[in-house]
Amino acid sequence: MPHSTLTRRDLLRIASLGSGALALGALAGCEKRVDPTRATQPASRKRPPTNPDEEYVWLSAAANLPLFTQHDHPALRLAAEELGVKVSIAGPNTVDIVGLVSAVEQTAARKPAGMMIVGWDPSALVPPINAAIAAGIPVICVDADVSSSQRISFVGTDWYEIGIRQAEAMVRALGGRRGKVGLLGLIEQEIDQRAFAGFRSVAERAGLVCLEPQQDKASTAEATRVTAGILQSVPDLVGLAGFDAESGPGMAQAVKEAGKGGKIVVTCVEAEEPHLRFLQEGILTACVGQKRELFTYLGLHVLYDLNHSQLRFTKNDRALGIRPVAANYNTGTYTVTQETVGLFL
Amino acid sequence: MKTPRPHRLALSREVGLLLLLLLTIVTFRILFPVSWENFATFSNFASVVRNLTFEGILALGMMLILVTGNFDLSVGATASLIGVVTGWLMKHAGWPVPLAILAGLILAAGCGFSNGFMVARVRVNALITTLGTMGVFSGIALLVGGPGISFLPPDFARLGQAQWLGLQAPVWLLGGLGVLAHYGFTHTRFFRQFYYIGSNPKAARLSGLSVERLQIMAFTLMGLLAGLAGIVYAARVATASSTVGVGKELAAITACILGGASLQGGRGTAWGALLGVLFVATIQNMLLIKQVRPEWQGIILGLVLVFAVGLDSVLNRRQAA
Repeated sequence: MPHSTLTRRDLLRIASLGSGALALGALAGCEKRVDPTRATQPASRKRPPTNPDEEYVWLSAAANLPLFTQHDHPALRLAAEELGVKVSIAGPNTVDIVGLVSAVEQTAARKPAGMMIVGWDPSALVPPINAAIAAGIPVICVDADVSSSQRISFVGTDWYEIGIRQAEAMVRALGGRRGKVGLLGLIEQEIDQRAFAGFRSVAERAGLVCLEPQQDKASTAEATRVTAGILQSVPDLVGLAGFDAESGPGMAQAVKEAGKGGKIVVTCVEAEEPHLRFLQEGILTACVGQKRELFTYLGLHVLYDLNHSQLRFTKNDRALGIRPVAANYNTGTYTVTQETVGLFL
Repeated sequence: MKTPRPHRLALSREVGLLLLLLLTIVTFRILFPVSWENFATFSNFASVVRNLTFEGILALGMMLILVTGNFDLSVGATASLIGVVTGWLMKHAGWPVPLAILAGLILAAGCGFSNGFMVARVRVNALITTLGTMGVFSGIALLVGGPGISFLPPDFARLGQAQWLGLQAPVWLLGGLGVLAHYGFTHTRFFRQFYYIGSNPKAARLSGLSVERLQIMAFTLMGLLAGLAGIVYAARVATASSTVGVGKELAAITACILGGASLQGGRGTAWGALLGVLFVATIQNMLLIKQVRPEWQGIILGLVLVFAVGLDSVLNRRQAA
């Protein structure tokens, strides 16, 4: 929806302006207390002159997924505008891992200033990422990590936390009721497995029994079909939790069609318009949103800092493999409930 | 030229599949008496048929295309595209519901026509043509629909959510389309022409049929049905999703082959296609009700499909001998 897109962009702009203002304010505040002998330090933190030919590449499978085009790509362009660098988007438009590996290798061959890769496959992407790093190209992972590679940094949501947030919302909504909970998602994905583990860590402690996670192939129609089956087969089902973008609307549709809206607690990841509609209708109980814009916005800043930061930890950071960025950036989550959904629509 | 009898040609295949379906249900009843109680309920039946309507409508169109000796990989993308375009027209352009649906269906027919034109007139292979248009249609669907167009007008949603005798409107629509398609294929000269051009295009051409024109018509009808599937699904969920059709083309082709159609053309019936969809949906439902691990669900379903088609092939050979 244009309205929500603008709001997010506006938020980003406000956030970046706010951070800038805060940083200026902090500098101004510090100025009075600063040691005169170190007064030259702020000058060395000035951003180096920008190079419009400095290119950073974002790569992913299913590169034109609505979530990417609505959130990740606009934020990437905004960051590029602010930093005065060029960004491009690459990768297949389907979940084609071979195509993604090929895109990473081809991009690395033209030596961009940096690459940020969505780690769809934590094993297949290891060799091309390591090869790019060996070739001297800064590579980070965004959204989904390839932790066994030599990628420099990961910027994204902690999926274990997504599981925890959903379980907390469910336990709260159940108010002491006990029973079985169905889990849906892309079961083969590492991030979903982390989310299931996070969910179980809270739900099982609260006395809920988590069923074997079911595959919904990131398809609303499939999530609806699978949920309908679960609703039939588990009479003491008290909750459903979904862990890919399409799980929420799919589960909610099945619950609604079975006439069980409000009787079963349903939580999911993402807070897009279809999710919010079901939240407003009272079918979904809570949606855990990711701060997706931060993946690319922060990601580009990380790559930029890898090339331009004036921070030094030793006399020869490069030789020691010390980088001026963190290894992990948890971008956090937010939970939308039936009480707060109005603020998001 | 002797008139082919589609209803007799593929009768054994469909009856065989129906018997296999019944056998599977009886086996489930015997092996899993506890799960049976959850399976054999009207609400479960209603849920199964409700969830197969999308593939069912696509399978009816795909069967027509397979009969002509072609196939269409762009049907899922067409369904997504038409769903979001219709949703966009209603929500963002403020068009009245009937007009938006009409525009969507016209566009759907146009998508099918463009496929047919490329295949029949320009003579580009159907695989390449529809693979290409699949990319085009799904790309446009994503551009128009983004993460989905929600809050569609209640008048539109009612079309997909209305119930009669405990079954939702899309189920009745699919049933109606199935009856129409069956009647058309078995009782009208127009639809029988598709069997001629599928089983022997050269002979059909020599007997005066315009093969190209009929192929274009088949693709146009396929496009129309794919668009209808997209609109009906959007009405059912009151949201137009730009990715709803992903992977559905293969599901439709699988159901048709299972139901008696042939990739070589000239074979297939409407009720065979619907039976194929029902067979797959029933097996999937049983596996879900039995709470089988998803990894095993894929393996079991794959084995059952291979077994069903293999059994049919063996029985056909015996019959021929």
